[in-house]
Order: sequence, then C-alpha cells, then structure tokens
Amino acid sequence: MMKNRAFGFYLTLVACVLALIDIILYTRVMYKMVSVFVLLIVIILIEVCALALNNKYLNDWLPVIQAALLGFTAARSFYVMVNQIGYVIAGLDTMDTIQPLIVFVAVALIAMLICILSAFLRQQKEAVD
Amino acid sequence: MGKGRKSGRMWRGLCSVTASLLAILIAGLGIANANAAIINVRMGLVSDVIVETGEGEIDSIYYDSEFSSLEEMVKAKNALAEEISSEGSVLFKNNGALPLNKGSEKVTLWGLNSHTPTLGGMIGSSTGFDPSTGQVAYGIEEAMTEKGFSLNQDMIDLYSSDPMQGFMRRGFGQPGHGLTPAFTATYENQSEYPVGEIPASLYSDDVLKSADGTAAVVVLSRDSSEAADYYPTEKNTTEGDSYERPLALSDYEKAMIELAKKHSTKVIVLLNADNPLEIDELKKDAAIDAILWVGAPGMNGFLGVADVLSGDVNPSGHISDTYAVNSTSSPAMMNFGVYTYDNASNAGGNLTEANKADWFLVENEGIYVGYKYYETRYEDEVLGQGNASNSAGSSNGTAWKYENEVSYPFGYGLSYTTFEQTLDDVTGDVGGTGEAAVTVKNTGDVAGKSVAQLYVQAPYIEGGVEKSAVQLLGFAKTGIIEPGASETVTVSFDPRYMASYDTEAVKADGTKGAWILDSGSYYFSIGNGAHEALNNIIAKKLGSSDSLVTTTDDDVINPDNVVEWKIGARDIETYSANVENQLQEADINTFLPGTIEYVTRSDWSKGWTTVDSLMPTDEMMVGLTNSMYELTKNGDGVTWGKDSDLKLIDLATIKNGKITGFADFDDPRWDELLDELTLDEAIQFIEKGGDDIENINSILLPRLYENDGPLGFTYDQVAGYDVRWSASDSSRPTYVASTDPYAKYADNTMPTEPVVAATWNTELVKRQGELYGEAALWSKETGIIAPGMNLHRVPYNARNHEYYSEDAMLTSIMGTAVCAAMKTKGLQAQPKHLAFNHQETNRSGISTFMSEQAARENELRAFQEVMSSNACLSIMTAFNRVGTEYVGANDNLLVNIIRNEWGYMGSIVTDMINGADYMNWRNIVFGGGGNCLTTSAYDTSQIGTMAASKKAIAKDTEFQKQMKLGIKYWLYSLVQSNAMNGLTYTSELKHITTWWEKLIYALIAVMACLTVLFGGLYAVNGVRNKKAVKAEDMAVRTEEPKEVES
Repeated sequence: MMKNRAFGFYLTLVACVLALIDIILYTRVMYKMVSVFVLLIVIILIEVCALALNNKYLNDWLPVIQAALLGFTAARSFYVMVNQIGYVIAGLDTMDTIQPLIVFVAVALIAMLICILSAFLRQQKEAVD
Repeated sequence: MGKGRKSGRMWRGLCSVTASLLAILIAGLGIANANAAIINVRMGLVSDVIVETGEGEIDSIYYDSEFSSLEEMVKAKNALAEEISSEGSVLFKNNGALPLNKGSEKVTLWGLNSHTPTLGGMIGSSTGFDPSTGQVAYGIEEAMTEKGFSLNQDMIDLYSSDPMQGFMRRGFGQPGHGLTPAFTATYENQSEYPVGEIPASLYSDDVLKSADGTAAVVVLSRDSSEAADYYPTEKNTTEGDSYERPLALSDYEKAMIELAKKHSTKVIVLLNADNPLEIDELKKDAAIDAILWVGAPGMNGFLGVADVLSGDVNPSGHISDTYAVNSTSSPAMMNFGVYTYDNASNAGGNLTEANKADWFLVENEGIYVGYKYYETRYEDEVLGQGNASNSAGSSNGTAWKYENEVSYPFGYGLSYTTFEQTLDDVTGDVGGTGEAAVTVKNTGDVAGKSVAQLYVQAPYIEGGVEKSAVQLLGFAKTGIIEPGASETVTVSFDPRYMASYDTEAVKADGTKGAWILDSGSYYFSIGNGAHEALNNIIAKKLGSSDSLVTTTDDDVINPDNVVEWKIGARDIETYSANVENQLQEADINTFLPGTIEYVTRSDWSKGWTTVDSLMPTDEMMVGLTNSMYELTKNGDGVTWGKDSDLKLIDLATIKNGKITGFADFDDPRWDELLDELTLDEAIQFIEKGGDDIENINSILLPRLYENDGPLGFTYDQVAGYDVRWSASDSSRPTYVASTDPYAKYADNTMPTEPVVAATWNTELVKRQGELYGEAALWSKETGIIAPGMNLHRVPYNARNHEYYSEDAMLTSIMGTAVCAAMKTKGLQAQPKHLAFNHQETNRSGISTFMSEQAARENELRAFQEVMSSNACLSIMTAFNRVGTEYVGANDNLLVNIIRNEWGYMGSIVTDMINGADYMNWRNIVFGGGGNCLTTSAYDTSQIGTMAASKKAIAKDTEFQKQMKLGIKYWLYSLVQSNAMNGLTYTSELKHITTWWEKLIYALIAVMACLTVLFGGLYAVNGVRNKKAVKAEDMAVRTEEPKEVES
C-alpha cells in the first residue's frame, strides 16, 4: 500500500490527519454546520481511497483536490459565525467564544498549505500504471 | 526528462494554489452574499437605487431639514445637550456654597473619577466616538476649563499620573467604566465592581497643599451599562478599597471627602451616577456644603453642569427616582438577580440550553415600586394603619420610620432662588380631560424656572384594591421667572390615570378586570416632590401637620395646596372599554397558587419574601420550551406575488411635493399591495429585520435603516453621518459626503434619560425629538431604537440610565413628547423594551412574574400613552418572558392590550435575537409580533430559518395571514416616515452590482481560468512525459527501475 510512495504523498497524509483533528476541533466551535463535517470526512475518504486504490491519477490530483477542499472548508466555517465575530469585534461578547473557530481555521489552513507544498513534490517513486 | 517532470510538478503546485484560492473565494462569496446588506452599509454602498421615470423636476423630499448644513445640525444638538444637562442637574443641598464665583474662586476637582467621569453607558447608550475627527467629549475638567473656571492643575496632574492607572475604572476597555457587561447566561450574581478611587496615601503633601484655599468639587461616580447589573453583595475590586454595597460610598471615597473637607474653603459634591447613591451621611454632614446630582450627562452635558456651578444657569431639575438611605430597603429588592428553576439545565433538569428558560424573577412588591412604596408606607405610618411601623423592610432593623429610609424623595430639587407655589384649581371630569392651574411666585432674589408637579391620591379602602398614597399625574415647567414675579402654568392631565386596575371587577358585559375609580375623595396636590405633595394631603385630611416628617428644612407643608374631588359611585366602566384581564399568567400564583404574598397596605409586614425555588408545572413548560405554536396545514392559502403596479408610495397622498395623507388602515389597497409581495420577500422582511429594514422590491420599498439608541445613533452602529449615503444620493438635500468635516462625528451626544427626565421640561424634550429626527435625515436613518421606557424597578439595575424614571407617568409624558416630535420629522421612534425588562442579568429568557395590577399600573402605564396616541411608529419588544412566554410573542400583550385596548397601529420589532429558539419566528409571528431583529441568528437555531421552512409556511394559511398583518403594520408606519423621501408615483427601482461584488466575481473568474490553465498544463505535461518514457523504453530496451514522477 505504501510502496513507491514519495514524500509528497506523506504530506497529504499529514494533511489528512490534520483534517481528522479538525473534525474534533470543529465540535468545539460555537455554531457549527453539517456541511463542514461532511467536507472534512470527504477529505479523509479521498485519502483513504488514494491509499487503498493506489491509482495514479488519483494520486496525482490528490494534493490539489485536498488543498481546494480544505480551503473551502476553512472559509465555509465562517458562514454561521459572522454575527458572533461581529459581537466580539464590537465588544459585545468575549474572544473565547470565537477562539475555537480560529483554532479550527488555522489547522485547516495549515493542512491546506501542506497540501499545496505536497503538490510541488513527487507523489510516487515510480510509475505504477 | 527530469526537467519535464519538474515542470509538471510546478504546474500541479500552481494549480493547487489557484484551486485553493478559488475554493476560498467561492465560499467567501456565499458569506458575502448572505451579508451583502451589512457590507454595503459599512462601505456606504447600495445595490438598489431609486430612479425617476417621470417628466420634469419632481420634489420628493417630504421631510426636509431645517438646517442648511450638517455643521448647523451638530451644533444645535450640542447646544441642546448642554441645555438639557443644565436643566436636568438637581440641587439636593446648598448652604450658599453654590454658585461658585468663577472670577475669584479656584476649584480643586477631587476624586479620580473627576478625571474619568461617567458620560453615558456601555453598548446601548454609549458615548463612543472617534477623537481624530475633532469631536470632543467633555469631561468635567474640559468643561469647567472651557467655561472659564480656574482649576487646580496639581490635582489634575496627580490623577493623570501613571500610578493612578491601576486604580482607574476601565470596564470593557473604556476609562470611566467598571461594569462588566455580558450577553451570555449566568448562574451567579455579579460579584465585583471597582469604584475606581485612590487611597488617601497617594495624595502627597504638595498636592494637598495645592488644594488649600480652593473650593472643592468632589466627584462621586458609578457607571451604567446594558447587559450588566449591580448587586448588593459585590466586592470592590479597586485595590485596597471596600464598601458595604456598591451604591454606598466606599472607604476611599469617604477618606477622599475628608481630605477635601480639610483642605478646602467649601465642599460641593457632584453625583455623577444615574443609579441612586446612598448619600444620607453627606446630607447630614454640615461640612458638606452642597450636593448636586448631574447623572451621566453625555458628551456635552458637563458644559451645562459647569453653567449650574457658576450660576449662569439656575438649577431647576428634580430627581426622577427616590434616593433611599439604603437602596436595598425597598420590597422590590427582595427579588432581584439570579434565581433558577428547579429543573434548570445547569442542574441537569429537563429545561435545555436552547430553551433559555432557566431563570425567573417574582416581583413580590406589587404596585409598590419607588416612591409608591416609601410614600404610601409613610402615610400609613403617620395614620397608624396597616402595621406600617413593623420592622419588615426597615434599613436599620428597628421600627420602620420614613426619616430613616428616604434621603431625598422622588421629584425633589432645589434652586438658587425660592418659589412659592399655589394650587389655584383643578378642573375637569372623569371621561374627559383635567387641568390644574398653579401659580408660581419667585420669592427669592435670582431669576429661575420652577416645576409644578401635580399628584393625586385615590381613596384607599382597606382590603380593597392596592393604591399608592400618592401618584404623579402631570407637571408643567415655568419659564424664567424674575425675582418677585409670578407665572401661572396649566398642568394638563388625563383622569384615566387616576384609576386603579382591579382584576376582580366584573363589568356590565360580564368580563372580568377593569380600570376602577372607587367612590370617595380624590386629593390633588402639588409639591417639591412626592413627599411634600403627600404631606399637604395628609395635613389636609388630618387638619394638622404636627406628626408629619419633612425630608429637608426647605420642605413646606401647606394643606391649602390641596383640591378635593369626590366621586359618588364606584366607576368600573369609563376607562374599561375593550379591557379585561390579560396578564393573569404573569402572576405565578395562577400556576402555583400561594407561591407569593404580594406586599400590601393592609399589612406592611407581609410580602417580604424571596422566591428562590420554583418547579414549573406542565402548563408553564409550554412557554418555557418555546412550544407555543407549530406550523400546520390549514386553510385555503393566501395570495402572494400578484401582478400589480401598486407601490407603497401610492398609498400616500402627495400634493405640491408634500405628503398630505395616507390610506386608512382599512383601505382595500393595503391588501392589494400586500398581495404583490412574494412569500420569499415576506419571509426575508420578517426574519431578517435587523438593523436594516429589508427592501421589498415588488412594492418599491427601498432598504432602510434603524439603529440604537437613546443618546442618538450610537457610534458602533452608525459610525458617522456619511456611512448610509452613496454617491447616487448626492442630490438629496441632507446628503453627507465623506469629505464633510462632520461626516464622521458620532451622533450619540445627548445626556442619559434620567437627566432628561430630571428637567421636567417637555419643551426641551420635544426639541430633542426634533433634533433626533434631524439627525436621522442627515444620517439616512428611518428608525431609532429609543427612547427606553422601562421603569427603574430597583436602583441596582445598571441599565437604568436608558430609562427615565421609577415613575410611569414621568416616563410616559417624556417618552410621548420625544416620540411625537420625532414623528414630525419622519423618524420612526421605537420605544423599548415592551415590557418588564427589569434586570439585565439573564434578561434573555428570564421568566418575569408579577400581579396584573402591577403590570398595568406601572410598566404598561409608562408605554400606554405613547402607543395609544401612536406618537411612536414602532415599538421594540423585550428579551424577557412575561410569565413563561417570551414577551415578543405574547398575544395577550401584543394583540389584546396594545392593539385592542390601546389602539396602537405601529409596527413591532423584537430586540436582537439572542436565543434564537425561545425568540423563534413561529411564536413571534403568530403571537402578534412583527420583525425579528437579526440577520442570521436563526441559521444556528434548532428551529431553523423561515426560509428553510418555506414549504411548511406555505401550507399554513393562518400563519401567513399573521405574516401579512405584521408586515401591513410595518408598511402602514413606514408610509408615515422619512422612508418615503425620494419616492414618487413614477419612481422605479434599478439594481446595480457593487464594486466589491464585481471584484469577487472577477477574482473567481481569474482563479478559475488559472486553475484550468495550470491543471491543463499539468495534464499535458503528464501525457508528454508518458510518451517520453515510452520512447526511452523503446530506445534503450532496458527495464532498469528508475524513479518516475508524473
């Protein structure tokens, strides 16, 4: 399963682990969206598929897909938190109410950057198809 | 080969960058679109513009400014604020120390809070502004300096020095505040409040020496805030300081006063607080020469205060609350703070966090709030009835005595001169109107104004309906009366407000509950406050004043200042049309009989009960679990989206460029207009009724704006007069360009409401309303969430600064005057918070229980006149529950009382949706409410958004009828407002894409192209590499393993 994997692939695996952690982190966010959970699970499933199938095309596009999904997920998570952020900026509520969101988004963006970095690197040591 | 593979990875890498940015932009676009209105407002943009398709010049400015520039308007508001503060300053005590002589007397300002005084509150009535604009918020130092006082700079330097910073109040990050507001639920009472004074040890010998020979102006401050309360057991967190209660003087304050007494020629105490401080020791201290209450006077108010200190203005204010010796001594304080149901969510009960229903408040005091308690018990003490001398409620634990309980009574205030008032006559009749003629003579040697306060005593029958021994009925303020001169003023009143509410009365039509006028003598009297008026009445009844207690040496007892009316038979019909009991479920005894014994005149020892435990019944759980209404399939549906050319402006009659009338509420064209709306538009209008009033394109209603608050439009919501304007509005006469030097000025400059109330001057208040209307024209606002008209149930409510008084009539008269004046300028006043918002702690969702008599005679009486006269075009509901039902969805209040009894025709909006499930749109719409003040709170609620329930709504005919009715009230009020400015019978709406929308679309297009390009290049590169590999394979015919990267 891991034969012929190059460093780039392992980076997507790291991003996938971060996505998994982000699922847990997202449960702590004040207002949540089901679609964010779904997107994170999709990211993980794609990685699992890439691992299981070891398909060249999937492997090649994996970091691009994951980076885009992670970026979308990070931005999407703000949708229902806009008001709360406004309250905090206006001083009507405390910073700790949006801190979990900040942590969640930071992890998602780090995962996204890792995927982007991965996209510049090799995914496999040799052609497999 | 290697180069090709590397370039392939480069294209993929770039593709991942652009694809990620594209994904972020797409998600961001969704968020931006959902919040487009807010973004546009903040950026001064509009997405829809009104265009004129008619021929020729059309004057469509129906509400125009009296000013030719924003500068003129700002200066007029500042001047009025100064005048209100000077007339709203209340002189409690003066042995001749005031006024000060600016020319000869140097002043030392004492107290760290003189350096950071309280100007307003936090959040709702804040005085936030941007100093870089050149706008000035006058503290005491700045104001007195500007008015020509010579101040002791050494003391100012001390308070400005670095070591003082640690002692300074800095609540919410703002100097001059110590409260800690929170929008979140709490299960503990407030525990800390820093007074912000410094220890005596920090006054160096040099500084003290600098004060020698100067006049001391000692400043005692407490601050105010929305979403916060004081609590009697709080600890002073100012390092090393302590107090018995936060509204009592702290040790540091006392020590500072002692220093001031030691080092000054005279000591004048300035009370810079809207919550009554406990100052009996200062009243009795002969070394305290004068006490002047100034409240929280706003950004310009201290200029007016300085005029009072110098004698340029003779004080004529009268206090709008009772100043008790111990503010916890009133029965209302028995129940104030945090009390949770036995099944609260935090205790593992079956109430949930989403229910937001854990807390309750039982108002045991009945009608006896403020002076209605202290003065009524006083009469009973004097007359030896009702067990009034019992120790219950005594602040020192001994027999209750008025002189031990009240420092300064409601309505009290002195002048630099003296006046003699004579109640000449009281005329009128029940069912009609009443008038009192009062002659006021200036018997002193300084010109000044005086207030004629008219009170009435209704006959109390032991064991019958509870009655206050005295209640304010009306008042009038004189002009400036020269020494020796007189003026006769007329106090108009409505005799309906002499009536009491009897829940047991059965009227001729068989319904239960009525406004009653018992048979017997009704005594009218005047006085310098409620106590003096009551003393007159008691003296008249007893024929002697021997046993009466005066609060100060200035009190006069004059039984001749009493006029008696007699009512022969008990009247329960005159003021009871459409009236019957509606708030029985606000009484906890209805659900749980015997829970509370209300305070009663028949025995003053009863009712002093704290209710700290309640287990809701099944019936109560209906309201507590927000289950008042569910959508069902019923009826034949309603019409939406009907094709018609009728527009909202068509319902107005326009002649010669002026709106001369508008269609009656029953005009069938309203229904035609409402049929034009689509269901989507109706849903959006109701569920997104935030600070923006949603546009309804089908009837040509443009997007409109409404914002806080009582001091003027708050800076955190309207950051300058220019923010609502766009370039397309530049032809409007009140258009403000961002280049206008006053464009970024804050509008929230007025004194707080207790100061306004203390003027007892309706002419000033009317002018305030007019200038709020002017500010709306210059800032393109249609509604202002003001005034606050809840009552000061207890002195410990830290939001009392947003409400006028403990008294319903003073609140009613002031509120009605300001709203009626706003209306003349086309501004939609939204008084708040209907009703019973009596504490800020857990205001969101708290169950508030009271007797129906108390509800109607106190809080609802405050709102009744402004709504029944339709002086306000809109009303904001409160956060709390009445009984167990959310007040913004309580049809007994919102339909049966305010519509059917009072005839209110304006619109209704909730307060900010803070608890989306208990403030849910289903209950609100069906309970007679209007719009929901939120943009997205329902997105995160269990009930979900209206839009998501559109299909279910479309099947519920009754619900849709209620939606239409709520919108109809809104449109009916908007057609009477400045919202019609710019609209004509030939106007049309044109949609424009804003620059930021164009930018996002362009970026998305660019990123999409780049993603496709880089992805394509990567794919092409991959194909080439594959071909190259095959070619190599063919060429070398070897199968050596090598690393291949695609």
